[in-house]
Amino acid sequence: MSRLSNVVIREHLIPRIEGHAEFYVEIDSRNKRVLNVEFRIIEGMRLFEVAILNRRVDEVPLIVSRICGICGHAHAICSAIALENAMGVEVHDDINLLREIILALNTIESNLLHVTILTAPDMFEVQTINEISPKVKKLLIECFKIRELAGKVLGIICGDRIHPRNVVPGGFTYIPSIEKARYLIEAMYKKSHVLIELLRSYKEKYLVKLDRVSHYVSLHRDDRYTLLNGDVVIDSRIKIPSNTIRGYIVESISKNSTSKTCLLYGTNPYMVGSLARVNNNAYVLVNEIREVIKDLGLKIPSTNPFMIPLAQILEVLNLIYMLRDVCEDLKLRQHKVSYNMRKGVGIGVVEAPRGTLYHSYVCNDYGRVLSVDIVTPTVQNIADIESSIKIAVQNEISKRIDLTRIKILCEKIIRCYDPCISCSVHVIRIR
Amino acid sequence: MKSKLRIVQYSLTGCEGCAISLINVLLSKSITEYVDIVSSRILGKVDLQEADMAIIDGSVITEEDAKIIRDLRRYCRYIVALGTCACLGGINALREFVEFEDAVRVVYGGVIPGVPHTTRVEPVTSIIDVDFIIPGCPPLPSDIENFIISVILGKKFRLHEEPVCYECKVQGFECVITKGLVCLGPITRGGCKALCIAYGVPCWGCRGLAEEPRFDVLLDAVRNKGLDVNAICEKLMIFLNKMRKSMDLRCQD
Repeated sequence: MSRLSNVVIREHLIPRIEGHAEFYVEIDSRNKRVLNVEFRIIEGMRLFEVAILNRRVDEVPLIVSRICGICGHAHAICSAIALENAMGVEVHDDINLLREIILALNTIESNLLHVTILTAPDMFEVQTINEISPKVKKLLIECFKIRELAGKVLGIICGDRIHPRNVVPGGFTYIPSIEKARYLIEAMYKKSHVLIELLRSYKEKYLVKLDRVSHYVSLHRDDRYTLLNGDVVIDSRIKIPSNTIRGYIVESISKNSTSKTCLLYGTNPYMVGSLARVNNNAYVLVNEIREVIKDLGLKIPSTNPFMIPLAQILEVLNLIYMLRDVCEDLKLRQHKVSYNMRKGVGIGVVEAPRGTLYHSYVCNDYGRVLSVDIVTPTVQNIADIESSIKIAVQNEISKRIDLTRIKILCEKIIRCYDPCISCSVHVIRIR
Repeated sequence: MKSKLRIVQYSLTGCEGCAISLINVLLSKSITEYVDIVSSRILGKVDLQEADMAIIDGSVITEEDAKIIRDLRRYCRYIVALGTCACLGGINALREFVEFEDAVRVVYGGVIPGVPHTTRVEPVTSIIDVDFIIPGCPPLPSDIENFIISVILGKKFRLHEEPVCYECKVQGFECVITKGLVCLGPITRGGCKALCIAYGVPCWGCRGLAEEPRFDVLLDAVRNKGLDVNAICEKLMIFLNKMRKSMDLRCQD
C-alpha cells in the first residue's frame, strides 16, 4: 500500500477550549480509513503531586484549588473530603449540603461559560461570538448574566469565585450570612427562561448527528440529582461504591502528551460530565426540567456527544431550581468540626463541572500529606474524545475527503466535551 | 473618537483563572466598547497580532512559553503580567523544592512526555521587560477593571503599597498572629481588603512583597508566639518560592 495516500490533519492550539492542546489525525485517503487519532495535551507540567508533598492537611485544599481556574472549588472540596476520609473525620450534614451548593454554583458558572462563549460560535460556523447574529448574541449575553450571578454567589460564600478561601478538612473556616446569596439565587431563577431559548437555538443550529454508544459514568442517587454523595454509576445500571471505583479505571501515559488516558475495565473509553450525569439521572431531574425535555423533543438519554452542551444547559436549569428550593430556608447549624491528625488513606469523589473527580491522599500522624493521586474528568474523557473523532471522521471520509471540513469537525467534537486541559496534566504513581 | 485599545490575551502554563477573570472584565458592559481583543485563544482567535498591550497570565514552564513571550514583547507596545504566576512564579514554583529531573523521575517513572520543558519555572518578569504587574491569586476583579479603565483614560495605575496589616487594621480584624497563626500579612502587599483573613485563613502572601515589607515585625511576632522561622519559610513556599532564598531567613531546607 502506498504511503502517499496517507494524509495528516493536525491543529496546534485548538481554539475555544480551556488550556493548550492539539490534535493529530491520520487517514488513508485511498482506502478511506482513519488510521490514527490523537488528542494531545501540550500544557506544561506543574507537578502538583510533588508540590503538596509534606504540606499540612489544612493547607492542601486551597493549594489544589490552583490546579484549575474554572473548577478550583471542586478540587478544594474533593480534597477536603478525601483528607477527612483519610483521618476518619465525619462532618455534619449541613457542611456537605453547603459543599454541594458550592459545586452546583461552580457547575452553573462553568457550563454557562462553555455554552455562551466556547461552543456558541460553532452554531454558525464562525470563529468568535462577535460574528454571531445580533439576535442570538443578545440571547447569549442574557445567559452570561446568569453566569455572573452564580459567580457573585460563589464570591459571597467562599470569598472568591475562582479560588475559594475557606475550604478546609472539617468544613469551612468561615461562612458569611446567606441572605444576599438567597437574593441572587432568586434573580437567577427569574432569568432562567432565557436558557430554554438557548436550548432551542442549540437544538436547531448546533446538533450534528453522531451516534456512538459509549459508557457513561457519574455519581447517582435514587432520590435526587447529586454532585457529592451517592454511588458511582456506570450506564445507569452498575452501582459501584465510591471507595472502590479506582479499581475499575486503568490509566496509562502517552508519549506525545503530558496527560494520561483512562479506560474502564482497562479496555473501554467512557464519558463523564453533564451528558453522563443527565443520562444516569434522567429520572430524578426536577419535574419542570423533564417537561422542558419533552416540550423540545430532546432525546434523553442520548448517545450523541454533540448533546453535551444541551445537557449542560438542562443541568444548569435543574441546579437553579434545586438551589432555589434549598436556599429558601437554609440554616447551617455547623460550619466546621475539629479533628485530630491521624495517619490514613482516603478518597474523595465529587462531580466537578466536567465530570467525576477523584482525589486520594495518604497522610501521617503529624497531619502531613505523604502522597496523592488525582484523576480529573478531562483525563477520563480523552479516550472517548478520540473514539468520537475516529467514528465521525470515518463517516465523513466515506462521503468526501475535504481537509478543511475534517479539521473543523475534529475541533467541534473536542469542544463539545468542554475539556479542561490545565486539570488534565498530572502524574501517575509507579505501580 | 479615540480608537479602541488593542489587546492580546495570552495564557502561559497555569490554571487560566486570571485569564477567565480578565475576559469577564473585558466583556463587561462598561468596558467592552473601548477594547478590541485582537488575539485570545479562549475567545477563538489563536494567531498573535500586533497590539497596544499583551496581558499575560501563567509562568514560563515549556519551551513554547519562553518563545511566545519573546514574540509578544516584539509585537506589543506594553506587556502586563497578570496574576502571581506571571509576576512572581506563584504556586507554579511550589514544586521547585525538588529538582525537575528528580520530580519527573520519581513521579513519571522516568518517562518524560514529549513536550519540551524548561528546567526552572520562571515568571514573565524575569524573562522579558514588563511594563505593569497586577499580582494576586487571582487578582481582585476590581484590580483588573481599574487597570483597564486607567489605561483607557490615560491615567496612572498604582498598586497598593502598604502591607496587608493595614487592611486588617482598617476593618478592625483581630491580628491572627496574636492567636498563634503564621500570617505573612506584615510583608505582603495589601489592596486585597485582607480577604483571606476575613474568611478565616491567614495571609499566604499571594500579592508579593509590600513596598516596605516588615520582616522584623513578622519574625518578632512569630517568636513571641513560640513558633520558629521554618513555619514562615513553609508558608512562603506556596506563592513566593522563587524569592524565598533571597529573603535571607535561614530556612532549613
